[in-house]
Amino acid sequence: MAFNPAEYAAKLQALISGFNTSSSRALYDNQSMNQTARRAMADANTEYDRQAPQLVAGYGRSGRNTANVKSGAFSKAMQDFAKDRVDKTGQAQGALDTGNAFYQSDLGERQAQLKADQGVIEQDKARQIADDAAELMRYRAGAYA
Amino acid sequence: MSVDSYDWVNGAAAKQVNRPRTADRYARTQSLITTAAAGQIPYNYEAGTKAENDAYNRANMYNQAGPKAGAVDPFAAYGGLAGLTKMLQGGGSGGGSGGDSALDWAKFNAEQSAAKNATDTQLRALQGMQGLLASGGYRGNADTLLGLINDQNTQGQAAIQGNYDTGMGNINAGYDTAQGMVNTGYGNLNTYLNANQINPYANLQQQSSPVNNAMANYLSAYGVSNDPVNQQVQASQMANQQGADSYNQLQQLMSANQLSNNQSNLGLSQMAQNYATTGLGSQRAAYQANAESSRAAAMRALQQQIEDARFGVEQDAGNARTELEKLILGLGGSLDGTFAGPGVDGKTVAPGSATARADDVDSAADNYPNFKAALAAMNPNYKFTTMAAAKKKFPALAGKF
Repeated sequence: MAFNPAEYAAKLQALISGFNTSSSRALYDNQSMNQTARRAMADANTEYDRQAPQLVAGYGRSGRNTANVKSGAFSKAMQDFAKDRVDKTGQAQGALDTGNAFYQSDLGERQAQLKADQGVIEQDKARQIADDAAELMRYRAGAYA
Repeated sequence: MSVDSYDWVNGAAAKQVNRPRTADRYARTQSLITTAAAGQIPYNYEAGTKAENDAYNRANMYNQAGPKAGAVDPFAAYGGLAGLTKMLQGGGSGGGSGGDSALDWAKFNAEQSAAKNATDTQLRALQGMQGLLASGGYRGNADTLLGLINDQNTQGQAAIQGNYDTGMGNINAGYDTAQGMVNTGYGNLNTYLNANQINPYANLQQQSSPVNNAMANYLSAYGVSNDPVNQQVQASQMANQQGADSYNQLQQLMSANQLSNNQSNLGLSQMAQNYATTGLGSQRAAYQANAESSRAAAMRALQQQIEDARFGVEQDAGNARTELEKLILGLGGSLDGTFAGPGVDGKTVAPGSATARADDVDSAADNYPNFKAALAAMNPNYKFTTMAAAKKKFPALAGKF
């Protein structure tokens, strides 16, 4: 079968279209993930900010956090509260970073696959042209082929 | 009239076989037959007197009506009267030759003349045949045919060579075109691969976002130490960094694989291009070999055809020569011309064997470099004027060059 430029162009177009479609979907998914994660992180911080005064007030009512008394229990409770906040927000941030990294990785992989597939099409084209060239040469040779 | 008692009758009975067997009666019957042949009453002049003979003549031989038309010729069996007369004069069995007559001498001379003419004719024919043998003329149009065959050979070889040259030209042109296409096709591929040696993992580096202690001021406001919280910050930071490092290590691995794959693709492209180029070269070599083989086969076939044609012509010439030699020998001539005497053109046939001279003509091309040298050696007495005249004079020899 002789090289068909239209078929070659169609294959390339289909490849690029598939890549664009999957990339758009991946981008949307990543943005959704980021949006969700950041909203969750913001909500968590808001909740921590809301609960911190309540925690202080609770120790104040029990007399373990007054102007003259700073109990060890209050300090530890406050430190644990802060550590939990750091831990939770750190995990959330780490998950978000990992998600974004994998998105980039996935994008790169799909782009590499696109180039590889384009390379295969180019190789097929070159091979087909070489076959056509050999066939044309055979025609030229006529009875001596 | 004294008629012999011989039982003579007119008509068919008067035949030679009925002739008397004795000499005396034969003399009598001579007159009887003569008179009977004249259509008269048979009469024996030998037996009669002069008066009787005159009387018979007056009564029967003078002023008599001729034989009646339509009458039966009594000597028809002898070829008429003339035939009978000739027979009685010497043609009969035991008769004389009669060679001393003028007629016989004339006849003899005529026969001798005819014989001489016949001999001369035969001699001229023999001389002509010897001349034909000596000059190679027996070959007829063989040399012309050989010339045509040579022309056919030359033209055939030129045609075969022309076909070969055309075929080789097409093969080489086809190869150049094909090679150009391969270079273009794989050139495009190489260009693509070189332009797309991307490594999607090269710049992928996960950065660990910093973990902050958002309550540091808050704790300080209540006189609570941040140290334990800061330790948690460092732990969380380290955990996130470990995850990022693992990811980055994975990226490096994939990046290395990608680079290797890219190099492999380039190598594959170059290998495929070399493979295609080598294939075209092999293909061209095979086609060229086919063309060469076809040319050789066609040349062999042509040579065989030419040789067959030459053989046929030479075989016919050889057969003609053999037949001519048989005729010469059959007519008493010799193949060297010595028995023939002067030639038909008045010139003496050249000495030497006609067969040998014919052989010399046949092998002249092998013994002499050109026609003029052969002419000078084989015909030293010939006065050379122009090449055209010499070739016209000696066509058989000229045909050998």
